[in-house]
Amino acid sequence: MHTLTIFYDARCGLCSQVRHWLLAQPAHVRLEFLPYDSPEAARRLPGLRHLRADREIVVLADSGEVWQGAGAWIMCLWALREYRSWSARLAAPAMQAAARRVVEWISCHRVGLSRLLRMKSDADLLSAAAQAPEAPACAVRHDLDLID
Amino acid sequence: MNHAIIIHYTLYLALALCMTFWVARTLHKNGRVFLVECFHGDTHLADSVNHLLVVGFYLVNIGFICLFLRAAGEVDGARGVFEMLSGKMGVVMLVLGAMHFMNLLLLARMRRRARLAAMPPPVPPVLRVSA
Repeated sequence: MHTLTIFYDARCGLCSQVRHWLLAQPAHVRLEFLPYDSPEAARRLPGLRHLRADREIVVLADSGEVWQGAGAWIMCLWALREYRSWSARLAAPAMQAAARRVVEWISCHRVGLSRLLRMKSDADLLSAAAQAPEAPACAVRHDLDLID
Repeated sequence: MNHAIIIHYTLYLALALCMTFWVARTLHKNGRVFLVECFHGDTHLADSVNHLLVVGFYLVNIGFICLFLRAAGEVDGARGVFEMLSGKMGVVMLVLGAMHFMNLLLLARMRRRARLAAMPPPVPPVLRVSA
């Protein structure tokens, strides 16, 4: 396994912040992020819409395995050099039920949490960048222009 | 210089060097298994690192033994020799023990890291698709 593709919600601020954090960490495998509702995501994993990726995060390995929900988050931790031991701890039978409950709660309340923590989503940033007026071109006056 | 101090120095050096040699041999012989696992079965690399670790161990310990050789007070008679020797050897053994545990800790940490790097996914997938 060399790459994990993570289908995330680009309209959710919390998910976008987690994406930035994950990308900043040293990892054992390459992490690739795609908005779950993008055409590229549907092309990569044709069965994605049946998985209800809008409810819980989906992770696809280049070897064909798919994880969702708590398992997908554990796989994200597994991919990181500094947090792989945490993935083993959270995957233990004693911790799995608690991890699943926490992940489900966060997934259900992610929009409210993002609003509460004032986290900007990738979609917000993209639309803000599209609406921003174009910067005026720099009018550099050459010294020679002043000589008449 | 009295004979007692010469006997003290000779006994101290002989005992301390023998002890260092024994600990280094133990480390060299039993640490190899850890290192082979750390380097994913690459025995050449494991042997090389093992040898380098033992050389470092010898240098640090023999350096300490040499610096610690000087007897502070006068050594009088057999009783003085044994008391001074016992005190010096006690400190040398504690330092050797500390070095040995530090090496063990280092090997255990390297082994843990190697195991984590080769760890398979801890949770089974919900489905498999053709890659």
